[in-house]
Amino acid sequence: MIGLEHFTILAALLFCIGLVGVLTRRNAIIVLIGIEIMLNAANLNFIAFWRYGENTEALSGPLFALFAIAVAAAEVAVGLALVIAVYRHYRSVDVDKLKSLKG
Amino acid sequence: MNEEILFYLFSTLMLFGGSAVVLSRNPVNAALYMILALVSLAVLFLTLDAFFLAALQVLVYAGAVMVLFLFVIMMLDVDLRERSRPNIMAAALGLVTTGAVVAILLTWVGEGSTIRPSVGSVPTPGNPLAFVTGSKAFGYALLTKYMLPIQVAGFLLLVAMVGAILLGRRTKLKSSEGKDGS
Amino acid sequence: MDYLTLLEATLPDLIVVVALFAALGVDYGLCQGKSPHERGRIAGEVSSIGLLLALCCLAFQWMQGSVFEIAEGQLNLDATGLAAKAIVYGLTLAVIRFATRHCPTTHASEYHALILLSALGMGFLATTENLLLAFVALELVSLSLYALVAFKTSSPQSAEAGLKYFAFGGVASAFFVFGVSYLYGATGSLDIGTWSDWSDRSTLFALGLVFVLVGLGFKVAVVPFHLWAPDVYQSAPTPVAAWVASGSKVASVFFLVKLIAALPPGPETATMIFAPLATAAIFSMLIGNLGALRQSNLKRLLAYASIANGGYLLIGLLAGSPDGYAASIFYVVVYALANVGAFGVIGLLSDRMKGDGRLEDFSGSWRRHPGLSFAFLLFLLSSAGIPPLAGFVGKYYLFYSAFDQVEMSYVLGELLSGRNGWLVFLVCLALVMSVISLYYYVLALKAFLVSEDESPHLDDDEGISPGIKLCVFALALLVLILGVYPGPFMAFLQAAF
Repeated sequence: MIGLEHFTILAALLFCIGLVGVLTRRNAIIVLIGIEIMLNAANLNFIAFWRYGENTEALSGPLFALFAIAVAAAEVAVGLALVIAVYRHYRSVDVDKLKSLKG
Repeated sequence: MNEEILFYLFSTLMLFGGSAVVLSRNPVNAALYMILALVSLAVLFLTLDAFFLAALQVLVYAGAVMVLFLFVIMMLDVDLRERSRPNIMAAALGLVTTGAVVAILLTWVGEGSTIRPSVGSVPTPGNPLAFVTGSKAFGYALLTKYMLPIQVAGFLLLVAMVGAILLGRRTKLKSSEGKDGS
Repeated sequence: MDYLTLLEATLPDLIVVVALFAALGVDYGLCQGKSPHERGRIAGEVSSIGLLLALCCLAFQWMQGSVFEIAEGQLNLDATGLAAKAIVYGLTLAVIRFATRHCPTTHASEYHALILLSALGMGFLATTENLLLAFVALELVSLSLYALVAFKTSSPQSAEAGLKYFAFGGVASAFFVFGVSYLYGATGSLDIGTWSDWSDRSTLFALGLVFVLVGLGFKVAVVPFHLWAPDVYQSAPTPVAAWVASGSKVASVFFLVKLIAALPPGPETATMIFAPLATAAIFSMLIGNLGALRQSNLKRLLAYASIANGGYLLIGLLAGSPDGYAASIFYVVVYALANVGAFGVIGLLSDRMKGDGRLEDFSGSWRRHPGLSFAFLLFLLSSAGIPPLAGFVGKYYLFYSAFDQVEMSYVLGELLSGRNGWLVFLVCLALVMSVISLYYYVLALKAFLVSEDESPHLDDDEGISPGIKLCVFALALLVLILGVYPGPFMAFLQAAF
């Protein structure tokens, strides 16, 4: 029988995979994808907690997931625009090359 | 039994997709693996009776967001191969976090429940939210109780639009310096 | 839900919305062909009028004694809520005035519209008790700030700072959402006012809370989530830096205080978050103050000072008493006023001349702009905590609220053990650090007031309009008044908890 803990552990693993991606990769686009993975992990949590919770009528969990999807889409739009803006100046999307600011 | 097969099959696929995103050198491959992970996640949503969100997940994430990613990756035409110099410290930090979170969650496993309350499958006039997994319930909630967040989310999309247009458009580099404020 | 109540409750916000569309519409419809400077001025005027009307509306609601509550704690507009919103919009007004003088690109109306949109988000964030609305509002603030930081598209540094801000902010918001999902799992509700029966899932609750605090810690720029701050403050357009340092911080602290004050009482709660928060406070004070010592760029210096101030703020939260919460809010408001003023003066003196904020750029400002330099002196001395300015009173309240929670004991061992020990240590460290901070504040003031004029290239071709000067002096006056006569405001804040 699949229980709540299966889903929460799966979500935690997914979150950590995203976090590792953000921390280790230097391509700004893949950093962005890593952030998306982390957000998806949260969505899985929301739906699992809602489904196994006592108050399924309230629907707050799935609604939060719905908003998270909308917000993530907006975030991606701005993030990719920033990546493009940086690419114009540096001809690269390598976050290690962004070193003009120091101190 | 079927449910368990579904869960294990697609959670494996999802974790594989996610790991492949992190490990693949080529951003295009990473984006494609991400789609695999997202679609598997949508199937997991289905096993949790969240049909509407599963559809949204496929439509919005796999359909729109990842296409945007692929579009930008191909437009920028960056040198696809990242010079491989794995950042050991960061990887270790990530793995330690993984271990810690999973360990804490495992201690909590005993508290988890496996009982799913039943959800009504047909909406009635008296209880329009009975069919909670359908899109109608979402619409009802969004336009009544969650009116304010949906409006704020609308402004969020406006910001995204204005921001993306402003930042993404081609500006004449250098030449705009010194002109403004005259 | 009753739509009319919603309309009534969000009337000030609706006015701001109308103003931002009016600014965009007037610019697109009527101002084509005008110079960018002129268009910026018009957009600024429209936005200012909108904000003034919104403030009037808030004052009216306050005088009526209106209390609005929207379902599930989505908005909680009692007197404190209205005041929080008024503070945010007041700060917006100051930032808009500074932004009007010089727009970094030709897109003047979008510049003002984005500032207003982030102000909307901050207003909601400061007054909500619902995690869903808080998340959406937080993202509204963040996304508009990312766009604003990178607004100077012709500058590589600006784009770079924008991407860095985005990368850190994106991870922080992912942490926030993930934490909220655990809080939802533990309590079954998104309304922080109804947290009560989480005890059977306390591990999950604590974990979620830590994740949420990570997300908010990024906004307040406490160590270890501070890495973006110096780059953003230095490279963003100066009014935007002022806005990041003031508005977004004030709104996040309002929400943070609400979150911590809503924690179910009990020793378990205290231990859950006490040690991580205290560690963050200690390192923020250390890294902020010591980092500021070696800066030669004024904006970077203020960025490190803001990290240190994030550390001071946490002391009030750690005290865990209503006085402590009120002191934190008082301090952040005072700090925001001083910082908007300081960044405003920096922007007025250097933006149009393409100065990037190096200390020597400001040498001899005393001669050319005595009034602005004096206001700058007040802002910096207030941040340094010199009596009788507001920063001193803010620090006094913070440290006093912490000492108040220390259980007095004549046995030194007891006095310095456990929670007592942390609090005593925090306050002592904060006192030492305040003394150290004097050094770099004086260093900055030296450039303004003492150094001889060596940079004739930084002389403006156009005088500074009286409206903007008035704005600077109003901020300086507020800093002075809140220092001399803090009682009523503090009593008002204390009554809220």
